[in-house]
Amino acid sequence: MALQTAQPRSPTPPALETRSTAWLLWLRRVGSGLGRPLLALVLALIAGVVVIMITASGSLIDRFNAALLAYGYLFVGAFGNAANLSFSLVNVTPLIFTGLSVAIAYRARLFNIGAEGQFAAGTILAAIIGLKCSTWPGWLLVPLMIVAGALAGAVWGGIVGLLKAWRGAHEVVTTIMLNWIIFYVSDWLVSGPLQAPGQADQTSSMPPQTNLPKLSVLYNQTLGHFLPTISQPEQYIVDISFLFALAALVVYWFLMTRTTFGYETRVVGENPRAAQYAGISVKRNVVLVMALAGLFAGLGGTLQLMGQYPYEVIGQVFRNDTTGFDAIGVALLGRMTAIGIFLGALLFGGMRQGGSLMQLKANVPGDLVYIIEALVLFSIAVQFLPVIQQAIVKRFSAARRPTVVAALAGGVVDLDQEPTNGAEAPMMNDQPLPETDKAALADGQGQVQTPAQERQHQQNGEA
Amino acid sequence: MHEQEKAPLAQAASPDLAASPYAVEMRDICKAWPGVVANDHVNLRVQRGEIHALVGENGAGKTTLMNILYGLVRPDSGEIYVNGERVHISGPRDAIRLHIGMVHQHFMLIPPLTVAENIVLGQEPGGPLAVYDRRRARELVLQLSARYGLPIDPDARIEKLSVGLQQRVEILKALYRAADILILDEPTGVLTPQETYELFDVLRALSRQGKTVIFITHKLREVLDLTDRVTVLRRGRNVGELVTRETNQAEIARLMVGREVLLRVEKRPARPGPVVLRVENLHASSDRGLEALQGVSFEVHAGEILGIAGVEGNGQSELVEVLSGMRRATAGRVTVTHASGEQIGKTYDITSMNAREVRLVGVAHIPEDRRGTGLVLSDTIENNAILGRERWPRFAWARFILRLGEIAHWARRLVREFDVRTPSTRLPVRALSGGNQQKIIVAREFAADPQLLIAAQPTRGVDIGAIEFIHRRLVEQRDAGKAILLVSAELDEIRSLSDRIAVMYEGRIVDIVTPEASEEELGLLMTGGRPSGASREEQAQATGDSGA
Repeated sequence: MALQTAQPRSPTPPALETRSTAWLLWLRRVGSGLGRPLLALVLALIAGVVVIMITASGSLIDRFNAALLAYGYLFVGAFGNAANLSFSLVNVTPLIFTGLSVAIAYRARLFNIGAEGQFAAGTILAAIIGLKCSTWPGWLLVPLMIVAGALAGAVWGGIVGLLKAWRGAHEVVTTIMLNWIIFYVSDWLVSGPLQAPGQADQTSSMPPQTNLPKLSVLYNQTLGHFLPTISQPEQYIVDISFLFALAALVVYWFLMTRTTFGYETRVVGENPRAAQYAGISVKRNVVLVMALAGLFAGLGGTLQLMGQYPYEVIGQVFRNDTTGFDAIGVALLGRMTAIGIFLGALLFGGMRQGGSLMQLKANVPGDLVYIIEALVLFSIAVQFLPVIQQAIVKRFSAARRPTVVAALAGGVVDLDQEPTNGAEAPMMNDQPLPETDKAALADGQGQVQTPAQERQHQQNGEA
Repeated sequence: MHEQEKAPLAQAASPDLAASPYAVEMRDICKAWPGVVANDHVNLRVQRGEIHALVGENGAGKTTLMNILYGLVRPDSGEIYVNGERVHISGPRDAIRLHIGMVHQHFMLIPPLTVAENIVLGQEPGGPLAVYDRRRARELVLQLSARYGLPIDPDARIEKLSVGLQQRVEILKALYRAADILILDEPTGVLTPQETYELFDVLRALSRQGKTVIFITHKLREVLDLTDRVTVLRRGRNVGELVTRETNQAEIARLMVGREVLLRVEKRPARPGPVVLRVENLHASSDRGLEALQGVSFEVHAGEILGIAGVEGNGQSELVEVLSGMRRATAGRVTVTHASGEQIGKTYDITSMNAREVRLVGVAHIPEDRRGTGLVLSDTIENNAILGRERWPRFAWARFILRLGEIAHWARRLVREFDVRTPSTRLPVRALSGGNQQKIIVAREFAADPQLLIAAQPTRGVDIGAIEFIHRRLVEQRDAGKAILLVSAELDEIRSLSDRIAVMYEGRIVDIVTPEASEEELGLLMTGGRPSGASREEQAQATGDSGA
């Protein structure tokens, strides 16, 4: 009984070739990148239908039609024609900047709640310079305001980084406190030193030479000489700061995926101990990342001030503005990728714009868009989506297991662990070639821990 | 959950149905993950009251099989019998009801809670109104502790306990849930030799009390020392069921790996060159502010392996951290002299350099905690292949823009040359087995062509095949003229690889001996004793320096 050799009875799975593996990995990345946010959106929209159907009147069919009509107008209002689209893009621009601000910080696992404050800091310094130097020529004043605004944001974010790096102060606390500091500073300036003569709490308008041109006007002045011009360009209000936002997305993508800075930030965020091992200064990186996060937000504020009517700071505007907080949703929805942030900002900015038309035409309260927004974020935040996703995948793949599809959704992962050990989950140890990536693993944990806790509760009951 | 109805759980739990001599019998268990068959018609028979070893390399399917038994994983097919009764285990809850307990490789404890709280967690003794009864919990734990001879302080917080004691808590946790069958998943991987011996005593005592122990390991010495019978798995299949008394290390190793394995490292005598690493009177503090290094002095020559032996926690970790730039020295001096290459003869003072600078000077470092320190688990193999060297001109233009093509090429080279089993270099490192993770670190550190290689626990938790491979590479590097500092808790490893052995005790090097020194002599040195008549040149030097 020394040796007992088993016969190879079960069919060996097909060996995965390198090419198909690479393709599957790519597919999975795209899938995990887009799949979950999309699913979240679809679920939120379905929930929105239910809300409208509850509030609408008439038969079930009527109610359903009302919901479809509302969504129709929501879409038309956001992206239906060039003018509406241009209004949407005006909302989208600052969301991209602040979304990037949140995302950069999050790459180092810092939660930047202070995008709004950094946004405000940029706006205020740019406004001060614009008002005090209003006689300067535009070619000097415009770059000066932009640079100053960006730097003000960087300083406001950098303070958070410094406090975190050297005093260990948690960034959530410090960003919130710094938000309120800058909100009150803004209130004081607007009702005091910067108050426009004879006006309520607001500043004078920025000098006209600093107003950024509309995209359509710019087009007419350049390409318009060769191509058909846009008639009535003034009605398309989006200004060139949208182009800055697109450029910022590219810069972000490049920084994060193609540079040592992005690499080291990721190491600091994922494993500070490994950063120490690699000789990457965690403190320096935290300060840099927060300063850069602030820079993007400050730039966003400055460009909005300079690009859009009324070109002035109005009292208490920042504490009522939600851009910097919506940005958290944009960044989460976009899973911290450049393309994702763009799509997320487009969605949130577009819904804001489309909501008013929906209210007007379909007689559905515009607040519905906030409900949908909230549901989208809720779906992502509580991470119950992976469970649904998995249930769907399991159903379809049950007949032909094992498949890669199961692995895509993290179906291979089975573990029963307490959260303290979750990060070090050893479940893949015994498989040489598991087809699971980080996202799938995370899904697996999200999924299996719940039943594990259930069991625990049941045990409680029995004992 | 539909299997649950069929499960004759209540009957199986009663001990008088012991018609079968087997406490656990698993028949024809199959479990396939996508792309890999983890268990392919595996059979396992464990007799009641025995200590049964389940051995195999990483990836052989040991953990999967045990996870199936504990209900964490559902098998695709196969039958499980507990005490002769067919059972269906659809979750740990079923397993616990069948009196099966599992101690995981990575502990499932809550650090801020006390020992007693952790043990009773989930089955707390409740007073009226289901209020947690702290005193009763303490009592129960003390009773348990006395009954099984496992002394523990029920009020200590887990985070204050040593790893060995934490493991004891895990065992008590399983016993508290009335486990008769104990599964231990590589329990010695995290233990010091002393703790390992204590664990073995505990397991033997439990076995005498009629408990059945299933012991997963890939350390052959432990199999021979402790167990009664052995089941060997290779690539998801049974390859042997042996009686421990009738077998030997070589046979088990051959079954595990599928070929003859060199258990002893083949190496020629060292030909030491000039001094590469010189450490003089080094002092440093531990994380807790205690003086972890109290005047350490030694030298490592090119072309030799200096082993640092010692019971863990005597300053070895801090020594490695100071040398690799992760921790500041409070006093002393460390220099590295190039013994080959362009800068031959150049000496660098690395005492106050950070890890990046130390690496640039030609020091490579295999850290003792690969998952926590040496890798970013969520990142790809490619990105991990340049960790610590990401700004080198080879991988980045102007130290800023990553050369992705070059990095991918580099990663593929490392994977090929060091035989890392992975379908793609774009996979996250987390998806690899422990042995393959370690190979990535070893590959990364070796391939940078260092002057000095610091290898801390280079084979901890990896399987025999990988250990053999890493050992061979270490000797190759030595023969290529590198200076190697080897720190290991495995005395066997230190003795078979080192050309000289420095023994550390309480932050000092108590002696430097040859590998021919007996195990008793080393053991005595490791515990602070000094063999009489052992007055070597190095010893005089070490004491002289520490006194300075």
